[in-house]
Amino acid sequence: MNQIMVIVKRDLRETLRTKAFYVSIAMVLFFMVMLGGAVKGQINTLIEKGLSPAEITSAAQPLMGTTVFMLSLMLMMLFCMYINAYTLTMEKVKRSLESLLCTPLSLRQICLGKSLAVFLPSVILGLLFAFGAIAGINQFFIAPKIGQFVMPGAAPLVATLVAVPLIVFFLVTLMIALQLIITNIRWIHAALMGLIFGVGFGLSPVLRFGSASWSIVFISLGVAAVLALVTIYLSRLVTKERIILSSKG
Amino acid sequence: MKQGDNLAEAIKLEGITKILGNRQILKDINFAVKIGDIFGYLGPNGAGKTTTIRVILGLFPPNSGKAYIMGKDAQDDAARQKVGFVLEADGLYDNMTAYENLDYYCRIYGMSSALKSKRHDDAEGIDEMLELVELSDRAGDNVSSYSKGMRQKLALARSMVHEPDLLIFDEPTAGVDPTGQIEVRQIILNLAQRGKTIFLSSHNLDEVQRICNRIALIDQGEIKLYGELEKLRRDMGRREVIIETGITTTEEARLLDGLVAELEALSYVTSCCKEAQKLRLQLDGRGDVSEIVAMLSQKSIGVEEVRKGEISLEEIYAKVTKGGE
Repeated sequence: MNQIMVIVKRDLRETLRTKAFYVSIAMVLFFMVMLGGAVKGQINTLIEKGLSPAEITSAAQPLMGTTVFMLSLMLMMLFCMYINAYTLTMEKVKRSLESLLCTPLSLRQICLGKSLAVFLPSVILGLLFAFGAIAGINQFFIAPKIGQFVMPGAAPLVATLVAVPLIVFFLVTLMIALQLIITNIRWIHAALMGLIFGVGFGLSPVLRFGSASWSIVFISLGVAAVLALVTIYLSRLVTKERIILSSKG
Repeated sequence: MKQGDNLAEAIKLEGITKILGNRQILKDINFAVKIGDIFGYLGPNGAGKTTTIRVILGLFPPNSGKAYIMGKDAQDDAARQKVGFVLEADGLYDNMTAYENLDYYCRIYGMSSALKSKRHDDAEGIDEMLELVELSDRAGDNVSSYSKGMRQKLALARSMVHEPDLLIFDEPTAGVDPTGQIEVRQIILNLAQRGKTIFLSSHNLDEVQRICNRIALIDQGEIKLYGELEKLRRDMGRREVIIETGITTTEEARLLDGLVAELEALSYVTSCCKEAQKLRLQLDGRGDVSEIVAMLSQKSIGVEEVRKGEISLEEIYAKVTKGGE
């Protein structure tokens, strides 16, 4: 585990030195300002309907649940893409990965180290920004109107804190595995970008049925399980030989 | 070879074949590098040198045969604990300083945890390596600002940071200027003096001739030559005989020209060529030089000196890779 953390720490340090990381933060901040505007509009609509604070609270709670769930998922995936795009691509191009493969570290340790180096900052930042958004929306738009905070329900909270990180972990592992053995890494990034939008649009109807219900937790855990199975299956294809040969391109 | 056997060989390849795509890159490769050797691995571009190194370092599993390093199966991750390496691409991290690059590998090899209580010693280890490769004054600079020669020296330092017993170098002086090459070569010699076993892949024959005691020559995926360099030079040189004649006139020169064809016709003469007053003959080991001297005397060609040829590594290389030997 020590050696895995050595890889994680180095990659994190490298991430913090890249412009791509700060560009992703700036993009997220811009996205959140836009989102804040949209949520403010929805809250105002509820208030204009003349609902009581209790009715506004019950109406706003699913909105908070949807926001925290969707925001955390999409932000985590966005951070994954930006962080991962730079570090592993450069390691393959500069062939520093080949040197790492010649050390006594096992391939599994290297893959896990590389995955955690993308997963940990993505999850931490994703959660931080998602809950920061909830706090901000409450602080600036809800509390001044009804005098209290409206928090997401238990189901979206569990989905956000458990299922979403699981989805992201297996997605990162899958991405790393594919990046290691595919010569043209751009395809992976394009696929991930598509996946981010796909998840965004694809989950919208599901959320309409009720982000506050436990079904969102089970659906998310199901997605994580499918990703885990695909990752386990594909990880068999990851060999040092494939990594070296795909680094030539 | 079993683990725990009295270790005499740092590297041992037994019948290694490697197929990539539909091309057989390595064909039944067998050789051993003894502990303490500076082993030169020679061959033209595309001969299979890098693939061999990748098999030795466990990057490529062989299609058949077994590779051992320090007595362990090369596919076993733990076998590389006491192995240092410099690959064709140096693999350094450009965004990190020289010190950080070495520190990272120190930690990868578990050095920092072993020396946690003596962190100062750990730092001293890195400093010592940087001093050895004369990069102490640039230790805090990002590697991206380094020249090719400096990068190679840093890669050498990185290969030693965990005090390995075996060092594997793939073309360590490729792309380095002559001064840098001398420095890199000197570092390798210093390492050998410290008792390290060195496996040096190169197509720089001068470099190999200067520093290696044993060699293997690979061409088209096959080992064409293998053994102690001096012995190979002696053995291959022994087959060459140089006869200094005392010819002075055009008539004698004409006679000598005529004799070349006769000598070539002898069953034990593989080649014969005339170089001014000299005759250079390649014998297959069965022949008798006195018979040749007698033939010269019969033609009234004086013989001033008969000596064994001295063959350089370059000549060995040319003969073997051209299929002449």
